[in-house]
Amino acid sequence: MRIAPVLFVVAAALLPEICRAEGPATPPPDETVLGEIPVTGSTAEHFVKLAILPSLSPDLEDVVVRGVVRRDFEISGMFDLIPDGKSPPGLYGFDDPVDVPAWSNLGAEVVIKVAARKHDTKSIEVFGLAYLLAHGQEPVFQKKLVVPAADVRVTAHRITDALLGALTGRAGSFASHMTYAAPWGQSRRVLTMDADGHDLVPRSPEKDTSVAPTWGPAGTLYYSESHEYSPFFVVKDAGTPERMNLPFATSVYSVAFDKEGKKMAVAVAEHSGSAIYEGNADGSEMKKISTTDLSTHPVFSPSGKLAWVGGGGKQGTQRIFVDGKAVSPSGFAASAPAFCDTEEGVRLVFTVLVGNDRQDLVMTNERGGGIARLTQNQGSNTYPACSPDGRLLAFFTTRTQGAGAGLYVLSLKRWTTQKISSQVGESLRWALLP
Amino acid sequence: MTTLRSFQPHEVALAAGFAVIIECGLSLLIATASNQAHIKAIDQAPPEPIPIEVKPILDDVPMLKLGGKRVRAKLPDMWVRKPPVVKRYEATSAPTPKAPEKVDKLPDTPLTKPNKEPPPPDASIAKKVEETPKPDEKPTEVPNVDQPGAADGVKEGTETDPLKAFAVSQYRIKISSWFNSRFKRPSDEIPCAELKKLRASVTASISGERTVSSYSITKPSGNAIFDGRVKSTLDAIVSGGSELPPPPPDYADVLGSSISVAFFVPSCE
Repeated sequence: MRIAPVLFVVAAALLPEICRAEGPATPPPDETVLGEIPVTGSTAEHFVKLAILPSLSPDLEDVVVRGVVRRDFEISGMFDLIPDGKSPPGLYGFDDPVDVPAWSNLGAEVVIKVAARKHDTKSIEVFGLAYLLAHGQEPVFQKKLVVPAADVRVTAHRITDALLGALTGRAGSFASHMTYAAPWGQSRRVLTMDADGHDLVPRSPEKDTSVAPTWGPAGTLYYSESHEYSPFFVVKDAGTPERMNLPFATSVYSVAFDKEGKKMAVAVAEHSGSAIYEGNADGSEMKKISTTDLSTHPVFSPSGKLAWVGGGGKQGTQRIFVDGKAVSPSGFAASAPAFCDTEEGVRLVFTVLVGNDRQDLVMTNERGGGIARLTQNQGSNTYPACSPDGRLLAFFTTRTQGAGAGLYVLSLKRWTTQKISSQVGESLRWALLP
Repeated sequence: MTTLRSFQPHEVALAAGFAVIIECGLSLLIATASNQAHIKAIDQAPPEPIPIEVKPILDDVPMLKLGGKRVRAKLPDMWVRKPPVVKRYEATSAPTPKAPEKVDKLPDTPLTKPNKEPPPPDASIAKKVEETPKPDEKPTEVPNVDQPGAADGVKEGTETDPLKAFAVSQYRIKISSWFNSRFKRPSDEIPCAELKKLRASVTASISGERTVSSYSITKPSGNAIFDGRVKSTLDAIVSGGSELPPPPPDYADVLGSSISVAFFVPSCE
């Protein structure tokens, strides 16, 4: 009599396993809001038509804001922008309603209204409104910022970011900045500029050699510097440059921080080669993690994986390693890895040597699979860096066709490029403004 | 005299003769003219009905839910207490025996008409009285639906936030493109007319890594070739382990543990 309950319990425990083994796996019912996804085999992609309302205001801040927002939307490649010349006639004052039928006739699905006006003698008001024409004349999103008049450009970028976030569910990252190293004057220096190519400023000392800059926690600039051929040391530049105390007596060639700014990785000179060390962001508890003779250019992925360039000696050609495993194709010298948190998922972008001392950009998934070439027969394309929102890829190119050599951004949505600066350098990094 | 010398008499006679002949000829032609020509009207063929194939276009945007604020119950108009109407009188001047002999300033209001009765002592006097009252403005009507939603929504709608509906529709297109890039139409094996009629519905399970872990064809098309192509496509997706595009960070919950997918070919172009 006592055995029966025990058998019942055992049978109840085994029943799910028996059922799973015998019957086919039945997917759970649809529980998403996506509805039924149509699959037709057509590769044509639909781009939403978007219009940015013209402005007749003569105020300088209004002209700047509208120009910046329009260029940001053009660079993003996310929408089909209706040219200004096609704007229907009408009133375009800030308080005038949107002429929904006229814009609908042009095919617009979304209308953006941006404006700026003086708030007081020192500050301005910047507005951004979004209208879904299918929804009527009322804006579905509006944002207002009151900022100092000197911040008009960056505020316009922030308005773009907010509008992109409202329309796509993923905020933009035009309110961001880049840094890179390049020959400047008598030495190699670290420079910074806005994401649209404006405000180029040299940041490292004029007579020292500075390389491999990166953005650290709270938007702080870090780079490696050598004073009169001394070993490279890491400089933290949060307004006032200061040398970082790291437990290495040899050169520290480059530094990287993870997304949360809690972990740091450095490339350190070691035994006629170099090694990657990883530890806390303040430089404590550093541990060697690379196994290749030559290891440089560390970079963290959004999910916390660490990639670097490894090779030399027994390992042969330099390849990209992710968490200790080579992911770039063997036989091709690879360098300058960068991770992109794109709308399609996390991607790894790096350069490969293709002959005639030229390099081209290739993209893979986070584990190195699904390789795709991004540039070809257009000079040497180097040092990729992704925008913080993962929609754009910046790189230096030496191409002579089109707009010529310089710093370009590639839309990962449309695969079109735009030149944003004539500068060519190395070790490009891109991060949000603090 | 000079003119007569320019023409010989026989030339003048010849010209007069030609003129008479021309005039007579014209008169003869007019007298004998008749119109036998008839222009027949071209009969337009009546338009023949041409069958047109109607292709339903899928609305990518999730339908907005009808909603609004409930209108508070109100009494019928006849029961509503209206504000008392105050009768106002225009200020006018009239001669009176009580007037003082000497006045500093004459009144500037118009003179009262002789047959008009004086206003009561407690009347409300106004400088000007509008004779024709303005029509009452109708209150703005709002949907009498006490639930969140949009006034331009529909009863069957599910989404209350138009921005979310828009962003989700963009993500839906992205998922659709992801499947489209992996599905090759069997156009070379099935005639176009037949192909356009086929439709297979599938439910795919999504793993925590955003890969398609399994699937089940809930409603096959009935065509072995088409269903075979759908099956081989999904088998390749499951074995390939490719990740679906991540949902927008602001709406990370839109991708659940399963999705419904419909394979069909609306046109053969």
